[in-house]
Amino acid sequence: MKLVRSKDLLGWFFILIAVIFITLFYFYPMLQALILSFQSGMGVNLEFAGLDNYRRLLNDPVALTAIRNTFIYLIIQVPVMILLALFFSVLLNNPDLKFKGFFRTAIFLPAVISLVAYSVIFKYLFSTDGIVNKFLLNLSLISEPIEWLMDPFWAKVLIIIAITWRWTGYNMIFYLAALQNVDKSVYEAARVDGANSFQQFFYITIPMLKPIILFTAITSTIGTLQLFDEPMNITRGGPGNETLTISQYIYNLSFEYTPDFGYAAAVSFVIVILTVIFSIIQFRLRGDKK
Amino acid sequence: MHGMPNIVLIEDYRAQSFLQAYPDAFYDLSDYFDIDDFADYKKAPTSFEGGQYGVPFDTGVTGLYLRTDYLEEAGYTPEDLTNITWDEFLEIGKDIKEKTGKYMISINPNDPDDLRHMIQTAGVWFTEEDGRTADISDNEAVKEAVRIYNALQEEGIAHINTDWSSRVSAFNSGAVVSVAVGNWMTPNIKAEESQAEKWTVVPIPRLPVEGAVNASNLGGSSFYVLNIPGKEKAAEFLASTFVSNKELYQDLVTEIGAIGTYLPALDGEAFQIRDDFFGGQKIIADFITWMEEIPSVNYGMHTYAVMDILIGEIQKYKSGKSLEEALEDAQKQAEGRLSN
Repeated sequence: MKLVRSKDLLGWFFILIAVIFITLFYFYPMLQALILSFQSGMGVNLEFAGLDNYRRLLNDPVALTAIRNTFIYLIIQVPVMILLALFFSVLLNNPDLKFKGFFRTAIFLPAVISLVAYSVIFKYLFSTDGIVNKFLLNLSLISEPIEWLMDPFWAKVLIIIAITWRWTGYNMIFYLAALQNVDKSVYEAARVDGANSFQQFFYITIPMLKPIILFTAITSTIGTLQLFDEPMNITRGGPGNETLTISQYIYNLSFEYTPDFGYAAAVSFVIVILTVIFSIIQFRLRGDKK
Repeated sequence: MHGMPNIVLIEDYRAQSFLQAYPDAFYDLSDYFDIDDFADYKKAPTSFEGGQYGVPFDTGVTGLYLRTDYLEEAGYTPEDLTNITWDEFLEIGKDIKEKTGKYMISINPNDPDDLRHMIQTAGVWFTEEDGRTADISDNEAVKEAVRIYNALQEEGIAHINTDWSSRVSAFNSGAVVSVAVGNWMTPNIKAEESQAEKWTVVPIPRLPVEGAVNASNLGGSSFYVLNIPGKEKAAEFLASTFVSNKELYQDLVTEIGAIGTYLPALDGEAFQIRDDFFGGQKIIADFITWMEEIPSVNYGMHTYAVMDILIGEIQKYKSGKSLEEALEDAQKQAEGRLSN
């Protein structure tokens, strides 16, 4: 009896360390941010303002544009990337493929590159007289250079291309790992029954990977909601506010303009709320209501 | 404030925002120097509620850098572009584009700093004199500046740059006829040695509004002492250097091309030098003459917030919205943001 007791205590002790750190560095700042979001003022001159910041948020066209842009990225980029990642992972899982290690490394490599470094390089690749435009011009695919950075439509396309390049390999690794666990005999049986590659992909691979697909969908969603580095470094939110994201707007409110940390905190809670909503949707989809 | 530096250099556009957002963070330097020793327009951004917090440093006095060889090719002389309005600039630009195929100017629509030096020629800002009341839709200077800025693109005489390096390469590569910018661009222009003797500098064009002058400012910054231990020493250091040492200003202009705003130092020899790159023009002496004419304005605390609102509305103006409507919407947004 006594032995069990002290074991319990030791267990609690180990958990306690994690709990203290999470509380101190996670929950406490979150609470502080929530309190901050009810205050308003410049820099350190903050006053309690109730729900003013949230009311202001609903009437702030820039904030609404940032939320709209973030959703456009989300709705287009996440499905495209997941499909691409699935496609690559299935190709790379082919047992007959040569130089597997090389291809896997090549596709995963973007995920270890610094966000700022790759953003800057993308900016140059896609500039008006950059190599991408030269390439497209020489292939006669376009008759005049695309204004990737200055056109509202193409600037969004560019941001989507960039994040897809950066994160596809990362998601692919999850699928590849999951595919290793799929019993080969399932495919064998399918082939015996006359299923072609497409049927195998849609009726075996995708259902088998469903939990992983949901997991990557939700992590990618959260990542996109927090998108900052790419628009900051490639387009600076431009042209106009056409590529501005919520995170970048928070940065602008805190550091570009006369600091209004209260309002910035209120905007950041938009991300918190959206993340919670999407997580609930994910749990519902998995049928796991805990 | 632990670990903060004793002295910081802050851009004049941002200074009021820091001074008012962190009122106890800065040390009042009134007892250490006399602000009247400095160019007049530097006073508003560096002082707050009777305290003098900043020691003015460099000037962003603007000029219109011109490629004389391109002008000649199109049948113009630098005199034709001296003391002109932006509308005249636009007309000449169209003509030169037609004759030489060269762009008149390079701009970055995501960072339209030209708007700032344009409206300062009229002695106004995006905010009223109090620095916090948005003044956009009823502001003739802002309206004219936005109209002209957009026309530069519409008329096809503006080369588009997207960041610092493409901005610099626009003139280094010889793609543009003129650069309208603060004097701090001089070292970048001189960096392309093959263009020696092909450049000259004339006064910046003015807005076609009443009272506008051919002198303006773009950027520039000032030194501030933080209110932390060691502040007296830091203030004394500034007092013995940037507010008394004339030699220092001579060295600064000679070695790095930075023009100070400390008036007693500006009659030194280094400021009278003829620059061979600019065909023997005394460009620094010229800049100093123009500096004295810069209209003084209060940049207030919201320059960059208003700029971002304007960037958004200019984009809409470009895609068909009327100028009046765009500026009224900008005014509304600015009022919403600045009142909070």
